[in-house]
Amino acid sequence: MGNMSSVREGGDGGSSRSRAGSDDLMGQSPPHSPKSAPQLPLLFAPQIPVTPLQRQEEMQSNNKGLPNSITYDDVLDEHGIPTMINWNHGGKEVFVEGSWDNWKTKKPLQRSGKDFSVMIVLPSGFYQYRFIVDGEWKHASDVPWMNDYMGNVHNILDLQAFVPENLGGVAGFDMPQSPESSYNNRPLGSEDFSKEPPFLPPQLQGTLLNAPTSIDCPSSARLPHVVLNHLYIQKSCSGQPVVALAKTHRFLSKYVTVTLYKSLAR
Amino acid sequence: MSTGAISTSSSSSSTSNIAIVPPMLPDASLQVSNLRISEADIGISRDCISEFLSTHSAYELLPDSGKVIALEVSLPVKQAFHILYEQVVSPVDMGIPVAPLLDTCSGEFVGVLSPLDFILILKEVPNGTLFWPMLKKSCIQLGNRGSNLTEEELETHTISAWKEAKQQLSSQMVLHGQSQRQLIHAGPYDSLKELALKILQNHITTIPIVRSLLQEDSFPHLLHLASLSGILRCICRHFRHSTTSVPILQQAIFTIPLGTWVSRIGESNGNQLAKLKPNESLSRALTLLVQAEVSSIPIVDDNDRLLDTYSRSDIISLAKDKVYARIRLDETSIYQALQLRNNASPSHGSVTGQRFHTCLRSDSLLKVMEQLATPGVRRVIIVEAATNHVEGIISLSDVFRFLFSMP
Repeated sequence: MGNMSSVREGGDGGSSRSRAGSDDLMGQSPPHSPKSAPQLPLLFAPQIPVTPLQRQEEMQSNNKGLPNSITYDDVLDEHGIPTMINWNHGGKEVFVEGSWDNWKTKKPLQRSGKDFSVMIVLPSGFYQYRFIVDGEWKHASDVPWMNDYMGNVHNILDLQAFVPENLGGVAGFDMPQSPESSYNNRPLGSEDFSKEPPFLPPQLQGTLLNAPTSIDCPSSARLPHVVLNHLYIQKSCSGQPVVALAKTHRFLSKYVTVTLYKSLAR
Repeated sequence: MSTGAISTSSSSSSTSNIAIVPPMLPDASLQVSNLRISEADIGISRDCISEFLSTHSAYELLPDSGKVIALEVSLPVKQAFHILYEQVVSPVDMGIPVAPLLDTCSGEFVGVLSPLDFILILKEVPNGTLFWPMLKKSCIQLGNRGSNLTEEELETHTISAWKEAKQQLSSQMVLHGQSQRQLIHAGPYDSLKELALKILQNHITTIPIVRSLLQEDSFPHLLHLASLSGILRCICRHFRHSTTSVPILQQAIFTIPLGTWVSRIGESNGNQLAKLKPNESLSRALTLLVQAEVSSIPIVDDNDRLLDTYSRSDIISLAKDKVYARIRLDETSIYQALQLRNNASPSHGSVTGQRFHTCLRSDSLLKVMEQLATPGVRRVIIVEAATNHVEGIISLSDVFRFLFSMP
């Protein structure tokens, strides 16, 4: 159940908090907000503790004193990334071997016409590999390669867990026209404040701030881009004059959610 | 900062007298080498890693969807304490109880609040004279009562007042690098090498990555709090499958001049490893954490077996239920403090690294680096397999000092 707040909040002028389960949003933008845009009321639910991802680490040393630990990347290992490896430079029989299994096994490539290819599922990481074409070691010069200090040449595979969005790469993408309606810039008057505020679009609830995520898997918490550049506010409930403001903004391909704790006391 | 060293000199033991002891069970899958490593191999490894760090930028440290918090500098210190406590125990965060401070008047980031600040406050404030010039009339309660900090005192002191008091304090104590007033920060296009050097040279643990916008009236954008752990994660990810190009990764750690080790009988090793028993007082632990400039102390029992560790960041657990206002530091034992910490975050045993991480002397450097690359882990304790005796500590800064051949 939410709180009903009156049209003019005396004194503090902040938005009131709503509970997690309710869809109603009771909040008012104060008439003299320090920011010019009205602030959207926040859904900071009380943090529901969730067990973090189960990990098999045994961190307490037992009587035998043998530690066993699994690095955090092992959690990402569950999501292998399918990768195509191609060889376009002729030959009869082509294999590929790589550092993903310490150069132990050779995978044959399937032939289709003059090109060879194979699909491998690998966890995110940096790998070196090379081709064995009719019994000889070769590298493909049209894909990234490097020399190592012993003078060998290897091809490189740098698998990222996320392919960054190529913002300029969608050919022929036209922005859709805004729907027909009347739009104006008139500042809000008192009759606007007497109405119910519009419902928060459900996409904006997908913010990092409300959902408990495990702390070391940031790549699995990729936010929908609709929450970018919206300002969230939480008024502290314990009576302290502290307010939390949060916004998610984009820097190149990464999203950063910044929370600023500000004191209200003047 | 170096871990486990009482003397002010560096933490890495000297390169010339590593005793070669019979190897323990080597890690079969990685063919750990127990032979003495050659200088040439060390040089090759250092060059390789150094080249990698120079060609990658701090942008790669940013997670795809990251979260940072910032505190306004006029917040009361107590609020800051509770905010950082919630960050550490809630599942939604990175587990680092450090926050940059924003001064909204000047629009700049002016500093960083870290667990060391809280430790100093809890220790020093009972000496009333420290805060005397800063006090408002309404909260004059200090004196030489020698008792614990009341809620009012923490409540009304703002972070900015504390930072000014800390200035005075640092002129009395020798605190590494605390006399700077400028925020040490980095930009997103700085190379990883510059970032690591900044962290090491300034003896800090986290550095905010800030993107300053050139338009007026806009606050700088805080992007990430980078630490050596993130940089090490990049290194591990890159080299984990290419151990032939970095030969040092397959060496057992006892063959490398790295970390702080308990001196064995017959060896003259200048640095000692600080250890404490669980019945010693919390104030002794905090004094040791500050003066020895270490970030964590192993807690051992009477037979020198490792029980637990107490770190600087564990001070945040005192914020639960406002315990800091009720306890006396010199009457609380470390054992009780560890109980408090375990109660404060019961589900976070293995995730935030508040529980300690151990390894064997025969583990390869790559394995230790992978452990250190886990978020929240800053040190690994080397124990003996059978008896669980503490043999040494390797911390993140030890590894990087070795890689950059810094003393």
